[in-house]
Amino acid sequence: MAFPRSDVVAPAAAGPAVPQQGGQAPPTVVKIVVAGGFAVGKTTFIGSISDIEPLSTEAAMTEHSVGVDDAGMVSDRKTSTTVAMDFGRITLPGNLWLYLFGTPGQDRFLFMWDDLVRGAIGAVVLVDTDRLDQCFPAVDYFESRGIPFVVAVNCFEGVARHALDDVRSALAVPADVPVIYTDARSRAATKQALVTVVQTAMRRLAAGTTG
Amino acid sequence: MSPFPRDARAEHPDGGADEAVDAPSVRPYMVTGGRTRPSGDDLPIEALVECLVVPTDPPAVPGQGAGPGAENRSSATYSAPRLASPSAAATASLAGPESRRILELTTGQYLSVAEISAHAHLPVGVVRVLVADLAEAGAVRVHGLTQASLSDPADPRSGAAALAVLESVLNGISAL
Ligand SMILES: Nc1nc2c(ncn2[C@@H]2O[C@H](COP(=O)(O)OP(=O)(O)OP(=O)(O)O)[C@@H](O)[C@H]2O)c(=O)[nH]1
Ligand SMILES: [Mg+2]
Repeated sequence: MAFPRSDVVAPAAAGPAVPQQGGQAPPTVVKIVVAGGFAVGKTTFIGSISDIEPLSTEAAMTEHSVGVDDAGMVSDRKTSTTVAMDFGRITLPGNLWLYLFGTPGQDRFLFMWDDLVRGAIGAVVLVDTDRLDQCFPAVDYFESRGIPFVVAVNCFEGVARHALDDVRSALAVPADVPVIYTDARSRAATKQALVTVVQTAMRRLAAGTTG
Repeated sequence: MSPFPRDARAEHPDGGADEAVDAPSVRPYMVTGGRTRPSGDDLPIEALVECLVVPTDPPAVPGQGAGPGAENRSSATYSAPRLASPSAAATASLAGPESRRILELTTGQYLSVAEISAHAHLPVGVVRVLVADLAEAGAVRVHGLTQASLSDPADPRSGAAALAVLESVLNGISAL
């Protein structure tokens, strides 16, 4: 069954009429992706601002292969492996739910990102300047897909080891990509990083619609 | 030290051996009859699921000392949803405990595919298939398929609508 890009998928079979959950209209959902290398602070970042305790799930990564199923039918067999993905949720006024999805930034996980970033407002690429190379795949990915993103340097021990200009030139990101300091443990810093992502997305969108 | 540049691709290690990727979880795929995601492909992980069927409590057995409400709730039953033209695999998956768990989780609250996956300990791909089956059977409704941030370049109004949503998000985060 295809899911149309409409607000609601009408039930095919009419069941008993049930009022919407607690009489509440369904929230508008938006999401921001948090990417970065191992132990760079993704879960900490999400947990610093999430309304719910960060949850972890297995995102199945599937590969296609054709096989024959039990009934003798040729089927589109897939083998799968899984990768842990963290996420949190923030309830915003106006019946808005913002999901934050944290995902490892290694090359070999990139193929699950197309799915993850579809419809996302944008992304935060968390960076540890001692292991700057770990963010390269994520930066390449978001840049090549035209997805709004912000490079956020996580200041472990509250210490900025490198000037933002140095990080910017090492990453060679375009001028319209903000490079900022953050502290994954700080709600205020996380909030500021998210604000920067949304502003970046809005600038992109405004530029796109006006010309 | 200055961070080494992004162009130094050759020097860029791919994470190392410490990042264990779990072995394929075979069992959950039995749940869906081996289908990983034939029909749930378009279902975003943040899509919200709403249960549409009413749980019917099993008849109370008199004199058996009814337990606390939580126990009764966990034993609530649902009439198994039916598909219009179900495949054998879909029928089996709809009757299974995993589908029932999804219905329980989405009764009285909207819950995303990702959250269902986490709470039910099922991979996202499996939840997608089961939710697609349940939606087709009319047992759940799926919301949040309009992705506000994605504007359609062909439709000038969609950009404005997306901007309006982003503005609400911006104001909301700023006020946290
Ligand atoms: N001092 C300090 N420690 C931090 C900061 N951010 C994260 N940590 C610590 O670094 C470790 C890794 O943080 P996580 O949030 O688990 O990082 P992650 O990116 O989710 O890690 P993986 O999911 O394993 O890749 C934890 O022990 C955190 O407490 C920070 O800003 N400052
Ligand atoms: Mg983590």
